[in-house]
Amino acid sequence: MTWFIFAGDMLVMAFMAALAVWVLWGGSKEAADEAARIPLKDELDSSKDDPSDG
Amino acid sequence: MEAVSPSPSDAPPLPKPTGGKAVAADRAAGGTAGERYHDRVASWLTAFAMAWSIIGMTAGVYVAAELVWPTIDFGREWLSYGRLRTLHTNAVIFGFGVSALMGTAFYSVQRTCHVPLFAPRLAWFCALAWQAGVLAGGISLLAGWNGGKEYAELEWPFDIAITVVWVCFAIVFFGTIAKRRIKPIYVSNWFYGGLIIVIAMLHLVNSLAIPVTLSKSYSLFAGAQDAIVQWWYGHNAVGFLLTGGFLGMLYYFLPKHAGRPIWSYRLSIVAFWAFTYSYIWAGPHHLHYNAVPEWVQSLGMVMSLVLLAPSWATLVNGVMTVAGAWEKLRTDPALKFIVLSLAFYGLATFEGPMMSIRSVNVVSHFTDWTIGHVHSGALGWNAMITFGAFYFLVPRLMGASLHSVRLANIHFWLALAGTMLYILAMWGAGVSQGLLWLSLDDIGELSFSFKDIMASMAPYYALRLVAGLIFLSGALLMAYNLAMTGKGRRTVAASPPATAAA
Amino acid sequence: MSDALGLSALPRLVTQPMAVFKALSESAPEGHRVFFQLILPLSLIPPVLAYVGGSAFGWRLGGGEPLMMPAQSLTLISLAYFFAMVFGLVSSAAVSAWMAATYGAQRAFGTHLALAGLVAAPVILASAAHLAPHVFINMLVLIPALIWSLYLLYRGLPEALAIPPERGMLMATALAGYLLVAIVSLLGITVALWSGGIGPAIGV
Repeated sequence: MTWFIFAGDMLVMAFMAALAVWVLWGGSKEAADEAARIPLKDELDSSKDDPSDG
Repeated sequence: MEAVSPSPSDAPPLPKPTGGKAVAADRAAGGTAGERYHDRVASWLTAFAMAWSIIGMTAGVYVAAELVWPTIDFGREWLSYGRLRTLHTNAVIFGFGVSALMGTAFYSVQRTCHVPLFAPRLAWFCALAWQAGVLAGGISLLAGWNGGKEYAELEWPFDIAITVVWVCFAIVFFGTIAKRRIKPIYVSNWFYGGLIIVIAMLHLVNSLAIPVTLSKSYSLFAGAQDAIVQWWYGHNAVGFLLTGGFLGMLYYFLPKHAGRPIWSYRLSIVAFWAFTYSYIWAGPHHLHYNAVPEWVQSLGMVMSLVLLAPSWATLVNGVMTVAGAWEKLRTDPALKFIVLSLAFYGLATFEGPMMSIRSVNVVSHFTDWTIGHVHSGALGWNAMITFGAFYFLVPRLMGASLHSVRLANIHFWLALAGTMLYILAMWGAGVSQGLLWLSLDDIGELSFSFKDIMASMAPYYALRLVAGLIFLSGALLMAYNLAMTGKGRRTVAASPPATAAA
Repeated sequence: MSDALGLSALPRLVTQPMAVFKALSESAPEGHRVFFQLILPLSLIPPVLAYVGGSAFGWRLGGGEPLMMPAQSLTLISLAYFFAMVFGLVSSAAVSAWMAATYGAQRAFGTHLALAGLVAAPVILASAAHLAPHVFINMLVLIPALIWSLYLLYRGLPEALAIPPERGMLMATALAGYLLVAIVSLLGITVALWSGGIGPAIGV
């Protein structure tokens, strides 16, 4: 039983590590920055949220 | 299909077609003409959340008073500490907490997807059915219905009702994401989504029971097995509801409030996955030195310590984001709440792992230190981030400025004072209890009796009562302030950003 | 200027606190001078008072007779208390200096060290309550002193580091966050030491 838990845990760890690698080196910085701005541009009148907009 | 928001500084805004046919044509071409976000449900959930905060905190103050003056239950079972305490926990977590999360989730998921809510009527059902459930559940607790599991006291009819509403919540939330108009799923949606999925799993498993009568069931699990399942549920109710969901709130409302993007978006993604991965293991730290296998306890302890890193990753993100927005503090009282919530978030997410360590837990377990820790998180983090979000949200929803900035500032100091006093009182009580309960005299016997120790805790409980009253008075000011802001107004209409119709 | 930052600055801290912080911002005291003239004397006060109170009256936690500890234990505890005070003040200054860049408050380390000492002074002086060694009485005295210290932190920090009040509020909150974590660590470390056998005999 312990072995199964351990094996499953290692698989999840591998997934996490792969994800961290992908996030850090895979996606472009521009894509991340663009995604970060989503809350600032989510209404028709976005100038009230995004100081750099209008 | 990517949505393109024309920057207002570039070109005049696209003329919005208003005639029915023109709107239909624009819509058919993939545009957003005439669309409105469904915000009225969020307005109502905000109001419900404030109401539950008052009810829940009043119940809390009353039970705090009962610990100082036990006779104020006047012999009535429904006023007794045992029943009123569960009303307090359920009202603040499921009434206040979930209503706030549901409202902010509905508000933010539409906006981050550039699309109005999927199945808005179902969203209304979620909101109203949830209130009915919490109300009926609260009454059932006062009537003495109790399944005996912490944060899961409600009996099986309510468990079924919760499941139904939660499935509807998932449908609305994930349905909205499914029909989103922009490709990336903003990080706050990951946290809210995680909340929905994990709470569903926890609730279903922990609530498995054999009903005997309408008001009584027996858990499918027993003994040590039941303890492990309960605290797998209990700690992750804290982890995914009270932490994860509110992190979703933070990641949406902090950048909105500050007018700046999150300091490091990539860090937030790593933080989400690391957080989700490690939190789920932490439950056994509630069961140190109990009759569960030692390897289970150790696993819980180690993962609780690992959890410190992703928690503080969000702390850093929040602090650095807000550091760049300092000028807003001049005019925005609510931003102060968010700033302070980050400090208490840091405290609580450090104190938790520390208390998970066996050699600390052996003294702190069953003491008021645990209560102090809970409330540093509940008052310092959950309540304050919600207050900050609501002070921003309600004026926005009502299309008016906050009724009184002065009252909001007073509330800020009351919230800070109440939280600090609560924590200090419980630290004092808790460490004293821990030491006194374990004290041995020179022949190796316990030096003090439990009864005498608890009797001497009364001054700390009185201090805590004062703290609770201070915090509650701040919340009352806020409820008044928000009510005045919204008085005579309707929820303002807001629209998704314009799409370039193909 | 930096000689105004010994213990002699403390009376003025009561009557004209903002003037003291303003004077700090206009001087650049050297770290080692601040350490010997302010930090060390301040750090001595609570442990000495705790020793006196403990040996004369014993410690009462609530729950019966006061605990009379042997002189050797009291000495060790007071010594540990002294080092904890020094570490607390110096580390707070170090954290403050590290955070300063984010808030546009870069100053010499001596300024941060003096700030830490001045802000902590009310709580340190309130440790006179250790002479009445009852935990709850100590709490009743120390809590208002803590409120006073927090007031000095929020009002005094922007003054001393010459930054706008809003930036000062953010930095003060970040520092307060560090202080909360430091205090709770102290609690945890103390309790862990007890479990490890160092301290009062507890049944673990």
